[in-house]
Amino acid sequence: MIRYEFIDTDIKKDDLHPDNIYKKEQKLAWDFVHDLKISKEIIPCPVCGEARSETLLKKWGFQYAICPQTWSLSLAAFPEEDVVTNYYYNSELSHFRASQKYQNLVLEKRKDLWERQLGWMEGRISRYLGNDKYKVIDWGGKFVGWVESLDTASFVKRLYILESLPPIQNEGNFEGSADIICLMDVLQRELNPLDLLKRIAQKLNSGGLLIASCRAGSGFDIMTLREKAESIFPLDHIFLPSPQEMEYLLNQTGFELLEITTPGLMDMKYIKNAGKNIPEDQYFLRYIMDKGDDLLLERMQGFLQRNNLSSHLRCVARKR
Amino acid sequence: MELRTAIIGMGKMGRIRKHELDIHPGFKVIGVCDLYEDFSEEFSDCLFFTKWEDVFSLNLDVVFVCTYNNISPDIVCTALENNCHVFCEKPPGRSVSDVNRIIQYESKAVNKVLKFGFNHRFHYAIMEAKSAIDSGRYGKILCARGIYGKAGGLGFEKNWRADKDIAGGGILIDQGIHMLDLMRYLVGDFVEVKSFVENLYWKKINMEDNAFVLMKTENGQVAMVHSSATQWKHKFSLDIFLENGYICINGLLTSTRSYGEESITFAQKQFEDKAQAIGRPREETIFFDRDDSWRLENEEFYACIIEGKKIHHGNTEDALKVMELIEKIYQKSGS
Repeated sequence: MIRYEFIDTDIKKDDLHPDNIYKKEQKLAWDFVHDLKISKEIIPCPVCGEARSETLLKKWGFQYAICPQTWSLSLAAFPEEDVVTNYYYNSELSHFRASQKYQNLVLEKRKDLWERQLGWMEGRISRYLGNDKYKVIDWGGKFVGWVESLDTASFVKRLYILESLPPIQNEGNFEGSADIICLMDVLQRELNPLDLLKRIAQKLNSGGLLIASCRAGSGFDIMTLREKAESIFPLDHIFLPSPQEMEYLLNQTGFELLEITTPGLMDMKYIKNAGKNIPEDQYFLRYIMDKGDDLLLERMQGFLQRNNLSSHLRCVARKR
Repeated sequence: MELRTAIIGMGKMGRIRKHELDIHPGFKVIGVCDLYEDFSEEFSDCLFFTKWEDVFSLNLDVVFVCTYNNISPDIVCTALENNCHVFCEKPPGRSVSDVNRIIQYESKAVNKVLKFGFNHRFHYAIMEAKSAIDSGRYGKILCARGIYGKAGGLGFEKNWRADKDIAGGGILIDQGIHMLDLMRYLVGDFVEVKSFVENLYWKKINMEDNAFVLMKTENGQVAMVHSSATQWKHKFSLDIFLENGYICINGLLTSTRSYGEESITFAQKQFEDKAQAIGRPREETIFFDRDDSWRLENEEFYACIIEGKKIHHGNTEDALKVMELIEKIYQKSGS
């Protein structure tokens, strides 16, 4: 297996989530979920089926439970499917995110990030499939800017859109299969990840590549900040696999995992930004944040990346 | 299809090959041979020979030649004459004339596959580098710099490698040959060579323990290689600078891990307009936890035999070109 380390000192929290916009998104998400009736029961791990008893954190009335086998994190009890559909397609939050103003802001903030993401994808595609142009599906996309950038990538012969969120239009009747499927930050909102990956496998040619990214529940900032982790909240985050769970999930759905890494850049920055919200019993982190400098944080982030401990994972898998 | 296989030379390399062939479903090792020691008990799962000529009584499909440099060309030629596919460890003999002799035998052996062991091409860092270069993302190669060195060791001066009649040359032909092969593979063929081939420390050997080489391709790309037997901390590094970025390989996964963790770093060229500070661009490093080079090398060899394809990595042209380069480096030293 391979591991990654990135040096990217330019990136800031504001590049991903401008504070004022992020607060509004959280407020709208809270408005939608805070009075939902959620079972107190803890369901088994949605992927491996292992019984769960331990919860890591509780947010807005929702508990997140840990899978004892893989350390992945997901809601202890899942809401009904139509509730989740409403959240993503009909809620005030979904309308806000579909607005041109929001989409333009995201484009402005993430343009460079997407360019680098495409550079990375181009490298992996060239490594595993060769230098050519391919039929590509973007699955579950939510940013117009991303889809437009992907459409111009050097490896794309034709881009198809499936199961996207508003305002992105889906491809009408796509009957064929693709050489590459991109699943960027989609798994984390899934109630049934196994079903999703099975559907994806059906649309991918044999030997084709799945390139996926998502939040990892086993990541450092989430495990450390717990309730205070501002980067996760219901129902944006339902299922947060660990790298081990991701591998299991892919194996179960007809994929050969080629690489899985956690190239996250933000764990230490999220913790630093948490400031006084770092849990009181986390003395070591409080000490580091009080006395350490930016270079120390950078080295720690590098350690997290290299050892698959960051809270953003990505993987490349080949359909068997 | 299971190929009846024999290994000649059961030293370090012969043992590595035996292990890898035993786990490959396409090869069945039915005989092994060592000229100097009786390993018949250790390798009781197959027939043991002490004369390499006797191995050919086995009606073989494949022979792996893992012997000293002075006898490997004879064995390769005999194996080809006996209608066998042949895998021969590097170096391909001691000289260009050795390789030319092998090529003559190869031309007479109809539909036989001959491959030389340049396993470094199958290290994941090298495969990543090749893929990135070929993609054109970083533009054309401007120059490259490679260091490959080891410490010699307590028995270094008494080892067969220290005997010029057996080895044909010092650290350059023994270990540096891998770096030269990689430079050819990644950069291209070199038409101009300057070098210092020196004995700096291991005075009891009458060959080089360090070679410093500068090479230039027809297109003006320059490569620099340092091959050393006085690298007290083992080192493998290969930096490639291209028009739009760079690729740096550090470390090489081996069984002892003495060359450190194998990694490759990529970066796009960034000046002040894109980076916080010039000279500190955004980098991406991949670390590798596994060395599958031996297995992948065997897979290429097997696939070429079964599918009748030509060898892409370590064919006779590669062997000839790298030996020509080595002879040029020796001849040009100090001039």
